Amino acid sequence: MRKTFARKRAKAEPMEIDITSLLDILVILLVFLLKSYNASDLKLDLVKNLTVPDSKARKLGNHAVIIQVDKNSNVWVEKKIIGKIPTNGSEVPELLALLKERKAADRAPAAKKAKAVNLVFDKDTPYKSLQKIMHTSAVAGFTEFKFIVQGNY
Amino acid sequence: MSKRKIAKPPKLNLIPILDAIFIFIFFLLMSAQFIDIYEIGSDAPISASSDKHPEKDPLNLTLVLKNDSIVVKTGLNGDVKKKIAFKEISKLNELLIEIKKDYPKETSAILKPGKNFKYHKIVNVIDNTREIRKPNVFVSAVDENNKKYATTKLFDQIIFETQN
Repeated sequence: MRKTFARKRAKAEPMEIDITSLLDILVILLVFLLKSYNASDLKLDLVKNLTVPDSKARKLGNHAVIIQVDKNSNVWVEKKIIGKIPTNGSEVPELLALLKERKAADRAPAAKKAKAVNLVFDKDTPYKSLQKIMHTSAVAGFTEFKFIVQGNY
Repeated sequence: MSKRKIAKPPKLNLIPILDAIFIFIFFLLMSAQFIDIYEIGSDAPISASSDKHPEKDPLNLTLVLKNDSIVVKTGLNGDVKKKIAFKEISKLNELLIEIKKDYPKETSAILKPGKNFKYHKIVNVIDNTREIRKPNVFVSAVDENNKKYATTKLFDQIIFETQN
């Protein structure tokens, strides 16, 4: 009786997953990421209320101190707010103190000390504010200004 | 007669290549910057003196940026070469191409923006001063060894000065 119902179960083969579609997605993602890959060592985190102007410039940025000035004239160094651009005077005292501190902390010999500073301004910043930041940076020993702009094709 | 089994095509082992692609994707995702950022260089002006007398008077190209116009001045006396309306900024590029043809050795331009001149307008002027905007147009420049070469660069050293 038992024998009549007993059937030999076929040995189950391991299930195969079709990964063709996954591979397609990966290849597309890879191409997209390769296209947007930027060899520059400058990593920029924009602060709020700041729109970088468009430019035809094609030179990649390099790592240096990053000063950002937003729409409300707030000054940020490496994403930390340090104050506002004063209406009077030709310098930004808080920025000057911080940059001088940075310069002093730089252990490289005097001739090799970093002179470059990345300046990120909101597109509507008036020249008088730019001038104060540039003047302050130059007084602190950062005489190479790198204006950060957005690529416009 | 025995029936021959049909041989199954060998399967490729894709696991190692998938591993590599995943690692590559993570690396690219980490280093991806989704806005293209570039830099425009400008050095703080430094005064210097030289005993050498140039063969030709220096160009001393100065662009005075007012709210709606650009005044192009040249020479040591600051003679006005042309006044261009800001909305016709492409004419500035055309004028600078002509100036570059006469002064192939010159590479610098002085910008004198007004106090309230907006930054994006300054960037626009810089773009038109540094390079030829029209495609397939070249000018000849001269290098340190007095060798001529074709280039699209006009006056790529930008110096800022203040209006009094």
